[in-house]
Amino acid sequence: MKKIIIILLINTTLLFANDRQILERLDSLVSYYDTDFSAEYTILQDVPGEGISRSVAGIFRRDSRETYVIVIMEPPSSKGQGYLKEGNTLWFYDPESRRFNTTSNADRFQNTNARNSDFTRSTLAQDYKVVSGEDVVLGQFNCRLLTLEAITTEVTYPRMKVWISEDGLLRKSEDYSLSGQLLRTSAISGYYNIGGRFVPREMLFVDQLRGATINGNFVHEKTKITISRPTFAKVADSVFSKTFLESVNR
Amino acid sequence: MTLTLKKIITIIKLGIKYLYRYRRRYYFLLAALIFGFTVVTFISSTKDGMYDSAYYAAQSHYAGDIVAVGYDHLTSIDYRDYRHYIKKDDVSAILKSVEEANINVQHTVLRTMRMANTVIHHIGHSVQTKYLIGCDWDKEEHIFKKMDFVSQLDSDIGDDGIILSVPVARQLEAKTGDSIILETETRYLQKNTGVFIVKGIVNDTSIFGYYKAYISRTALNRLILFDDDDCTTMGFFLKDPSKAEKQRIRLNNTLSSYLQTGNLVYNREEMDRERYKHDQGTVFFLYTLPVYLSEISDILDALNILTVLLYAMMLLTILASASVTYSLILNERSKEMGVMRTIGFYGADLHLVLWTEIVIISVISMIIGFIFSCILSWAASFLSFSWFPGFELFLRNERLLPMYLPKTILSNIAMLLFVIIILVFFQSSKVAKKELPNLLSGEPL
Repeated sequence: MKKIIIILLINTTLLFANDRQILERLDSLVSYYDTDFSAEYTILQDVPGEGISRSVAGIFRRDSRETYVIVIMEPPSSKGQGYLKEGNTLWFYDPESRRFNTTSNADRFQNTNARNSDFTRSTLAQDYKVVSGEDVVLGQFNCRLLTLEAITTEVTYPRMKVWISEDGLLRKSEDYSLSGQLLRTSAISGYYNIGGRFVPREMLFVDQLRGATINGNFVHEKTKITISRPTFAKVADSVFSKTFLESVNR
Repeated sequence: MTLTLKKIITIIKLGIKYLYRYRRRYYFLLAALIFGFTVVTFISSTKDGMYDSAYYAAQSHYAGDIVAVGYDHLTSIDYRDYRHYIKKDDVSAILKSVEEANINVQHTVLRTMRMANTVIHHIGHSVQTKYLIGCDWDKEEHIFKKMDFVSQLDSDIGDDGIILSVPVARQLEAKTGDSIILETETRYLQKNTGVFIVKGIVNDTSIFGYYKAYISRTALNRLILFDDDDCTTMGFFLKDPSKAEKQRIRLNNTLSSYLQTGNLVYNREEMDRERYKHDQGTVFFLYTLPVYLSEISDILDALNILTVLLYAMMLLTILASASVTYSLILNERSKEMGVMRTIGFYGADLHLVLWTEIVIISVISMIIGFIFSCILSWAASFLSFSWFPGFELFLRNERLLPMYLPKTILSNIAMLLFVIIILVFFQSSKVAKKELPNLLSGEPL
C-alpha cells in the first residue's frame, strides 16, 4: 500500500514538474528577452445591442526591462492617449489634460474586455503554481489543461485555467476571481512564427459577466484583437519614456 | 402702576390709534418692508439650507463629524484608495484616545470603503460604482433610518445583502431580492467577486450617492483581504457638531501619544500634501467635514458674498423706500405733531408714538414676510437645478430646502428693526426739534 502511495506521489510530483515545464516553455515562446517587439493592434469591441467599435494601437515592448509603451492611433477621440509601464508603475497619458496618471494592470484597456496586463510579457510559470493538469482535446488541438493558482499577489486573476497545445502555445484560458467566479474566457486562434519567436495573430476575450439578452439568448460582450506588422527590430530607448508619449501629440 | 408707566402705555395706545387712522398712508411702507423681509429671509434661509444639505450629505457619506483615516505606507500599491487602512489594534488605540480626550461622541462608525474598481453585474448589465461602502448595519442604523428607501428595507441585511443606489439599480435592472455579482479588487489589486442579494434600494441624490452601494464591512473586508476587524475610516458623530474643530485638535493631541499622526489639515490640498510627507508605517489623520468640503468652499464663499451683497442691497432698499415714505407721511402730519406738542407732548413722547407705529408695522411686515418667504422657498424647491453642475450637493432629495436657523432669523429681525428705528429716530427728531410755529404752519420738515 505504502509503495502505491509513494509511486502515486512521485507520479504526481513528476506530472506537476512536467506541467511546470510546459508553463515555462509557454512563457519563453511568447516573451522576447533578447530583443524588442513592436506591432499594430486592431481592437474590435463588440457590445451586444450597442454595435462594434474599433481602435488601433501601436505597441512597443522591451521584455528584458519589463517595460512597454502603447500609443492609441484610432479612434480620433482617443488618438494620442498612451500607456507606459515603468517598473511596477503603469502610467496613462491623456493628451487633452496633458497629464500622466497611474493606472493598474488589472484595469480594462480602453474600456474593452482586454486588461492592461494582457499586453505585457508572459510570466505564468513565475506567478502561478499548477494545481492540476489533464490532457484534453480543444478543437483540432491536443492540449494540456492546467489549473493554476497565483503564488504572488501581483497578478490580476488569482486563478486561471490554461489550454496549452502540444507545440507549447497557449490556445485558450479562463480567468477566475479569488472566490472562483469565471470572469473571462480568452482564445488565441493562431500565431506568427518569426524566427522561432511566436506572436499571436488574433486574440478573443469574452467577458463572462457583461453582455445582454438578445432574442432570448444571452450574448457576451467580447473583444477581438488582431495583431499585424509584428517586428522584432530594435526600438529606440527614447520610446520607452514619458517624453515620447508627449511628443507623439505634438 | 407708576405714573410714568401709565403715561407710556397711554402713548403706545395713542400710537396704535394713529396707526389705524393713517393705515392707508402706511400701505406702501408696509409693502416695502414685507418685500424686503421676504427677500432677506429667503436668501438667508436658502443659504443655510444649502450648507446644511451639503453638511448632511457629507456627514452621511463620511460617517461622522470627525473622521479618522489611516494611510498605510507599508502597502506598496500607491493607487487610488488602496493605502487607506486601520488595523484592529489601531482601532483600539483610536477608541482609547477618544475616551481620554473626553470627546462627546454620540455614535462611532467603522467603515471600509472602496472608491474605485468595483463593478456590479446583473443579467449582463454592469455598473462601476464610485463608492462601495462596507458598514456595520446595526451601528449605522441611525444613518440608514434617515435615508429615503424606494422599497421597504429588509430588517436582516446580513453579510450577503447589498443596498444599491437608485441609479445603480436602474442601470442593472435590479430590484429587491435579485442576486448580483460584485466584482472588486483585493488590497493587492487581484480580482475578487462575491454574490449578494439586493436588500434595499436607496434614493440618495447627493453628489456622493449616485453610483453607490453598501455591503457589510465583514463581507467587504473578506473580499479585499482585510481582517474582519479592520477598516479604512472611523467616523465620530458628535453630540455638538459645532465643536468638531476644537474636539479634533484635542483628539489629535491625545492620539499622537499612541499612534503616528499627521498634522491637522484644513483643506483638500493640504490633505494630499500631508499624506505624502510620511513614508513609514501607518499615519493617522483626523478630518472634519469642512476639510472634505473645502473643494466646495469656493462655491460657498461665492454664495456668501452674493448673499451679503443681496442682503445689503435689500437693507438699502428698505432704508431708502421707508425713509421716503415715512418722510412724506410725517410731512403730511406735521400740523398734527405741532398740535400735540402744543397740548403738552414732549419730544420723547412724539418719538415713542412714532416708534410704536413703526414697530407694529415692522412686526406685521416680518410675520407676513416670513410667510411669503416660506411660500417662495416652497416654490423654489420644485425648481430643477440639473443645469448647474455639482449643484446637487446643495440639494436634499433633489430639492432645494431652506433652513430657518433661530440665530439667522433673529439677526434678520434685529437688523431690520435697527434700520427702522434709526430711520424713525432721525425723522421724528426733526419733528421734535422743529420750531412750533413753523410746525403748526405746515412747513416741510
